Amino acid sequence: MAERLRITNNIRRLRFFADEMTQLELAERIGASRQTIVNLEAGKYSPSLELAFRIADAFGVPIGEVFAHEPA
Amino acid sequence: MSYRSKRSIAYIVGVVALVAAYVVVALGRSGTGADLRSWATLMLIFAGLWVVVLVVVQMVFHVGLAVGVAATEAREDTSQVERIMRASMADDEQNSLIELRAGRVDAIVVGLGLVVALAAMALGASAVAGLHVQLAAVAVGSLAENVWTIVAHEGGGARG
Repeated sequence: MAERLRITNNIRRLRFFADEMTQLELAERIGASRQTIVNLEAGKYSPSLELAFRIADAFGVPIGEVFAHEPA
Repeated sequence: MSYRSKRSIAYIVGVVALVAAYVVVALGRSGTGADLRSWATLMLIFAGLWVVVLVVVQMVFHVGLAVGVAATEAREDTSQVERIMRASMADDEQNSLIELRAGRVDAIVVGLGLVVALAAMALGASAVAGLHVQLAAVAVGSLAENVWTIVAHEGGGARG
């Protein structure tokens, strides 16, 4: 079985540059729970491709600006 | 701590209280011995109580959470309370994944309980004992499911 990739994200930074968008606002925009945003920012949860695109759309940036991965 | 973790803790407390009540009632039933019918009736009553407890915990917890949010985060802004409640309870992919895996943990424990109960009866234990092993497995399975839910929500147990 392939080793799991370590996926990082810039959600906290992107929220800051989006007029300090709150976790609550982001959760509402992408249709997720606040706890999911908390876990995403903490790197405890890796979203599906669909949710990842929704997050990128919420900030109006390409998905590559939100998520990155470190080589296994 | 997330809404779902707190709700799971409330469920755990409810299940433990119900199991304790069952143990007290069961220990007080002297003389029923191997009367399967009376034990089955008692278990059915407690199964009904179980459903009632789950519904009551859900309702009380929902009200309690709204009051808590109003007191700590939204003060007197009711629309903000509603927003926070909605965002806390929203069903999303992480919750679905955690529920799926927690359900699997529950099913494994209940399945193991069935095997243990059958093995115990095959080795000479009474049918009543076997029935109680199975009942215990259902209770432990429910506890394991809720503990798993808390661990996954707080520790990111579901990786997507």
